[in-house]
Amino acid sequence: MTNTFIDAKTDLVGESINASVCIIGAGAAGITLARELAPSVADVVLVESGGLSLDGPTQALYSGQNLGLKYHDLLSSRLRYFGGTTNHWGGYCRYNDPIDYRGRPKLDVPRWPFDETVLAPFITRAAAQLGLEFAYFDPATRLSKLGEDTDALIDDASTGLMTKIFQISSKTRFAKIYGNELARLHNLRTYLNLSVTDIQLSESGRNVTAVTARTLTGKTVKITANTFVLACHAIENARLLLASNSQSPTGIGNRYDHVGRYFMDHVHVSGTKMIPSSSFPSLYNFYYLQSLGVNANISFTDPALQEMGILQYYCRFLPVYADEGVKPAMRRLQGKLWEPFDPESLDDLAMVLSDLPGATRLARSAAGGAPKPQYFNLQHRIEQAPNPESRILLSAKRDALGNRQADLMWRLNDVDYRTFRLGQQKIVAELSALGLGRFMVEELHDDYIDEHAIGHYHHIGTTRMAARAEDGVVDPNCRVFNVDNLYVAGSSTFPTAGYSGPTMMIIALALRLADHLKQSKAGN
Amino acid sequence: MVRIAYMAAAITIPPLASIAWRGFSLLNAFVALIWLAALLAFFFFAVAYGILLHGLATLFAFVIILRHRRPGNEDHKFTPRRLIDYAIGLYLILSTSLTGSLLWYGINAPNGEPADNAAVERGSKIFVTSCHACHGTNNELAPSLDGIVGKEVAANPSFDYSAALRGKEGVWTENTLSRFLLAPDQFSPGTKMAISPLTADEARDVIAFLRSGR
Ligand SMILES: Cc1cc2nc3c(=O)[nH]c(=O)nc-3n(C[C@H](O)[C@H](O)[C@H](O)COP(=O)(O)OP(=O)(O)OC[C@H]3O[C@@H](n4cnc5c(N)ncnc54)[C@H](O)[C@@H]3O)c2cc1C
Repeated sequence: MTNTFIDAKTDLVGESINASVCIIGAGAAGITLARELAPSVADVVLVESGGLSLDGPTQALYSGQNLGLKYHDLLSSRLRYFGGTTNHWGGYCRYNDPIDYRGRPKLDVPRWPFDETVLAPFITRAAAQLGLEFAYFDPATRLSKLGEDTDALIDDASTGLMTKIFQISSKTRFAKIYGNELARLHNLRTYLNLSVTDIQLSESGRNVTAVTARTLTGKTVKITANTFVLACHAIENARLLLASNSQSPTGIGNRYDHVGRYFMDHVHVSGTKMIPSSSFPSLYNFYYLQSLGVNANISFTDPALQEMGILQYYCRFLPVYADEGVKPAMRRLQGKLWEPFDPESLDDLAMVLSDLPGATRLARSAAGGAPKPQYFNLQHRIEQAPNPESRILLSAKRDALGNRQADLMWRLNDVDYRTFRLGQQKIVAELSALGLGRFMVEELHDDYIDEHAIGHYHHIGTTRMAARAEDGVVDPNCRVFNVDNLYVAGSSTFPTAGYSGPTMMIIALALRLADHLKQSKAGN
Repeated sequence: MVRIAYMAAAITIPPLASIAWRGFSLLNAFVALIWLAALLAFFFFAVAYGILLHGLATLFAFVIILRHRRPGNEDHKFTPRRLIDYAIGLYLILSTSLTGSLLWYGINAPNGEPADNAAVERGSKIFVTSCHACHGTNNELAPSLDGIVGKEVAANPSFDYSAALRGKEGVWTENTLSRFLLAPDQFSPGTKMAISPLTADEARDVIAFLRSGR
């Protein structure tokens, strides 16, 4: 890439950098902001901790412990180099439902400080940028386009059930897609291998005067700017605010003790089998639809959610085609086809021969078909409740730059447990009534859920947005309350996890923030 | 030793048997040649090529039979006796290869302990939280772990391994994998596999899971 990418380890970078707008973090949020701002705002700087590819020592700056429920390794559930976690993500996209913006006081869920109409134009732009056809979020439109029988959709046949689609974007790798564009922007300088470690406020605390950044080679750089935007992904955004405690011991923006709290993910738990009847629509077969590049799940309508008093929930149906062991045996046989004969393959051959019908179903499914499985495993997926006890905490351990690591205390609460249970109950009741299958129900007790809960790599919360300073960390424009020139971008600002995957929403909010910064002449 | 004896038997018996049965002919020798190539491919090159060549040999055997059915060819008139001849020849070829393989298998039967299901189950959970993000679905960031135990280190030509890993010789064993998982950066300085080190128990379980191929 060309000259606007600057490796901070080289002599091209001295002791200080000055800019109008300093964006910290070059992931989904940071790159979107830079692309929007740099054409019209002079002197924008994008500061990225990593280089152009994955590097062990830099990635290790993301080390942290899991203190609560078993969560993904914090080191591998986000990426620390140019492009950020977009070098990783699966591209599953959806917008929030109207209910996601509403407060749900009975569930202790706050409202977003604006409703869906405010974000709609930005979501449309984000979807276009991701190469998605907005109309395809409508299941009937999408599925009829694929030649599927839309009469099979469950929506009209049941009360309260609703099919919701995730579109799968193929424009996911931001570094590859936008790297050259960024390199050509004259108003933009992108610094690589430069990690922000501390944010300094003016004496009054109302302004960021500078941020400190370091390289792993031992260089320290002071960055001054009129406006700063933190776009380091949810855990790191909170970590930087908490760790910047030279003025206030609790960190920046933390007067009301919200920073780091309400860490949320989309959580899933497997349990309960369903033996489908012949009328169970194959379009709810997860692998089948995935092979068509779409994902559709059975969820609930907003009124049904309200009536049941639960959070967002959806159910995935994972087909089991053959006896246990047949699928890996087939995979291994396939893998060994191009290697010299290995006697161990005879075990696998025997395994495949022991369930030929199953093996045939597997082969048909691999060829894009949807054979009737032996049964489906149900996977229950929910948005997690905003829970102050589910949070980021600074550790006593320090990273290679001397900064305290961020640990995660991941916790579920009663609303989460109830959502899992009532969600499953309704799915079982409705599908049984429609004669779509027989269920072997597994009770989803709290302990079972704690034991089996799996996160989705969606880090949400930790610097939440609110209308009033008492209720959150950033205001509706994503500006840290009571600090005039510090903004936060990314899913850390989401007050609730919502139904959607976070990234399209992150992009939409970044587009909106860019408009706000341009209008408020933040650069001047 | 036994393996060599078997190989010798598998290579020589079918052609010899067929010659003994039918007497020597050029076609006969040609089939034997393909048969030999199939065996060599099967055991030393790739199972798929072996099967393909074997199919070819079988096809030729049929061609021989069909040739003899041509009307007017009084010499080689297709008679029930001939059909039986060839059927037996074919059968010889197939059954030798099959029994041979089974024999070899019996002798070399994997003596590894049966998979410990509880460990595999625990290992599958560790895989989800520590490995799946990179090794699970998208293979741009990390190579696939299918059949990793016993696979050559840094074997995927399309993956850009760290220099340290590329410099290593040999195959992944439970021992080397475990050392890698317990201390990635010591085992392979500068590795791209940025994960929090596993404990010895966790490493054992996740390796059991990887071996199980689930
Ligand atoms: C395996 C996986 C699958 C996923 N699948 C999906 C999906 O299907 N759908 C979906 O919606 N989401 C998915 N996600 C989540 C998605 O990747 C994130 O929501 C998104 O990338 C977050 O964007 P971001 O800009 O906030 O953070 P990131 O993209 O992580 O970017 C943050 C950037 O900041 C840099 N940085 C961090 N700290 C500092 C510092 N101190 N100084 C300077 N720079 C710093 C980092 O190096 C990084 O480049 C997935 C994530 C994973 C891991």
